[in-house]
Amino acid sequence: MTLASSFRLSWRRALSIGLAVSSIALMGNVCSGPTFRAGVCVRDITPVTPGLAAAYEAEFGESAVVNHTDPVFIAGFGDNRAATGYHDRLWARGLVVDGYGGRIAIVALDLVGYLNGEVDTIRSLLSAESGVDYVVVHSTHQHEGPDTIGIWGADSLTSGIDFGYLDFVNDAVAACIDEAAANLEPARVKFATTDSVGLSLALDVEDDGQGVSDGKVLVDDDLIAPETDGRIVDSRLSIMQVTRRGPPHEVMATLVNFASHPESLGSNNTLISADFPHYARQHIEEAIGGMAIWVSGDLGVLQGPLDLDVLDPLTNQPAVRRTFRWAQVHGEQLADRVLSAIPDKPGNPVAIIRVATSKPVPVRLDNPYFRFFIAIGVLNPRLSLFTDGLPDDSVGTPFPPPFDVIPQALGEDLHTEVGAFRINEASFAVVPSELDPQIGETYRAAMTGAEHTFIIGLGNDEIGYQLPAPKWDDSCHACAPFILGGVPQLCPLYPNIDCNTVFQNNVGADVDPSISEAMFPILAELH
Amino acid sequence: MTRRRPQLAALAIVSWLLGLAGSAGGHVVHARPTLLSLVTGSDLVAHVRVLDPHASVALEATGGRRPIVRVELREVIKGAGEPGRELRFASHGHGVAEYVAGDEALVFLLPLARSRELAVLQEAGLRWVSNQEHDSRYVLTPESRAGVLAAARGYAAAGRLPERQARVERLRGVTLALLTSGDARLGASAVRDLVAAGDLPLVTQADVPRLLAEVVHSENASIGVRIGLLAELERRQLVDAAPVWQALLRSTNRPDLLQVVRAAGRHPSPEVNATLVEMLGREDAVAEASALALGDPAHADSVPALAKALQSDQPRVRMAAIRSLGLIATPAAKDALEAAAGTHEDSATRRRAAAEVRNQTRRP
Repeated sequence: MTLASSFRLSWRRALSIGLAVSSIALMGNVCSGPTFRAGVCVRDITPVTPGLAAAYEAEFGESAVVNHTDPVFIAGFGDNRAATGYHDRLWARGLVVDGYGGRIAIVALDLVGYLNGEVDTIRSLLSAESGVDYVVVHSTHQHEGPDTIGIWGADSLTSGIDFGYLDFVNDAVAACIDEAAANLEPARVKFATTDSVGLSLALDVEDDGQGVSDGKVLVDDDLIAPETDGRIVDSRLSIMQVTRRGPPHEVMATLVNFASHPESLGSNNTLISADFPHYARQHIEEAIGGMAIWVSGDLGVLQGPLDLDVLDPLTNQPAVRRTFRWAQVHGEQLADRVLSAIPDKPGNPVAIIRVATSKPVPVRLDNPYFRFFIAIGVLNPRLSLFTDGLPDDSVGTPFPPPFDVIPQALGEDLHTEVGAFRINEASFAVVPSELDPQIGETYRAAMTGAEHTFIIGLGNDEIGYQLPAPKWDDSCHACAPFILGGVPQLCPLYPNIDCNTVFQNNVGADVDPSISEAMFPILAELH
Repeated sequence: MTRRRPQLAALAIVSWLLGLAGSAGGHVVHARPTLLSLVTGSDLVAHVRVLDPHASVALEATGGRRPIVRVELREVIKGAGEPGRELRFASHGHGVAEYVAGDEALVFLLPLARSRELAVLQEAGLRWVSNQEHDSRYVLTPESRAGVLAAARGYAAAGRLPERQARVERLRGVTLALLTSGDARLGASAVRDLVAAGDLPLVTQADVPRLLAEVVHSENASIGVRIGLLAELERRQLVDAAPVWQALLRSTNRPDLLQVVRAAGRHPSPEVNATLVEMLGREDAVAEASALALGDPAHADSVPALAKALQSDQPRVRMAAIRSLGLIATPAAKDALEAAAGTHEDSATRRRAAAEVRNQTRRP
């Protein structure tokens, strides 16, 4: 079922009316329908424990409200990385936009991911007065913040999640959206697109000077991109800026969409930080005011900064990797690109907004490792598996002999959601995954007529990597009974078994077909 | 639908042992690998001293350099190499293992030729790559050195034994040593291998008294290993687990108790259920953990207790109870949520309960 059908006006007719009304509005008339309005909000979602409260106060000069139990296990790289202090704060940064056709809330969280069940709770917490048609809760996927998924605890046998903290975040995000919606004001919107090409030095074998590198080359990628030995990245920086309606058109918000894991600090850091987006946002805000919002894009499969070198202007040498200085140089360079790309003219005071969503989107769970760990209770997905649309927690031993002693959860699929929306000449796809940029390009291609395209990754869920089906290497899953049984060499595919994290920690080969089959119709509906 | 525990037959999985004999040349790299899987999946396993963790090799093609690690071989546990010789390897992965000069470490290496991303480094004279990441880095300390090296040697030696039963016994010995070592990381690794081994008799009924005494009931063992091992012994039907869970709930002190409570909730029994309900009345974080642990349809009998917990003076307990009532999702649970949404004196509780009721209406 799609939401788009509930908006009765066709896009073509809406556009023509919008253009007509745009002319009226430009002449000074205020029309509550197509007039673009916006509101912004921000909430500090830094995890504060009894043990870290003093460190928070010392670092930021403000007393802290304890919202998390000790310790804070940092997510993203491995187990047992307990936070020892703070470098910068984590935020929920929200923007509510209202125009002809709908009202949308976009909230970006400095978190590794946020599951769909929590997003549902946020939606349920919103006041009716907020009037939001579509809520997007995005996670930047930064790797220097709390475990909100539950798989980075003290060891691989215990969870790192604090549900009380999730309750805090849910309240904060809902209150943020309510506030922004309650404070909508006449505004203007404009868009720009640039890229990060040239921001890295291309000194390493994995760095092609694109400002982002590809940590995992998939099969046949070298045929698509022989010039880079198969390294394919999305270096696009898509920008939406919202300003106040009247002169001097003060900036309210600058939203930046970029496809790179915020993980430049690496796995040894124990200070909580938003990573390089912190510096990018700070640089933008210092330069032009307003609030900067960082939205990570199609950053899978393993698009990121870890193998890049960037030139430190203070030393004229490559910045030392895995340091806050590196994150600062990279973040500020990205910010400078953004600032130089934003057109120096007033934005559009009217907006035609359309939304289309699809929920639930069933995704078949193919991963026998996940099924195994769910079956034995080590992995608790918190969201049920489903069969024929109904919750199914059953367990069995479906492998043929001699592997019919290995337990598996039997539910067929998990449920997630996808969405898309348009704001004037820009188009946005909201995916619940870490989307491979090659798929991202196909979504952008389907945004016919859109001058600026955005991919909001990890939107309203985090279901892991989404890669092109033809590049899916099934060896790790196909050999699972042999691997779980400890006899990988008996698998017919041995020794060509690729259990890279991209394939092992993946819902399965059905992710892309399922997400894309849900995404393309709603994109078609909007374009 | 009620989850049923499979009755595992003690049979064919024993062929698991073949993997150790035939694993040379295997390249199955697990995310979060255990020590056993690291040993079996690597071509070269070595105890090394780190000479320069931030060395680099020149790259002709780019004019740049690639970071590598220079080490001195101390002992080759699997594969070929000469102690005292220098070895260089590249690192690749998502959050690679990082070292400082002078570290003693156990490294697990694969031929660089097999790395799609880094094979080009062979031109710079490199042969090896490590896929070790943050959580598979083994830096040896005076406390951990002996145990880690002994375990690695044991796993490698088991893989060289030609006779199956001998390998079982060797692995069983290593497993028991790791479980009882008091080393949290080694213990967790052993528990995960036990779980993945199905019914392979890496522990037997004869081992249970020692494991209960020296691990499950021992405050010297990490809580993750204690509860992970108990869950595995229960899955293998080697213990009557309910009284043990109950005993752990009653005897463990904080902060470990919070983990016990969480784990016990996934092992429902009348004894566990009653104890968790009793703990809902405590005035500390244990009450919150208990409320969360009861959030499973298997604990549907605890709805009245969770409804009572909605009146707790601790906000986190109230929020946890709302979550659990939402997960239990019986008509009685929904009634409790609706009552709280309508009449609870705390506005935040009313709001959250109302949201949970709305969540219920959206779910299948």
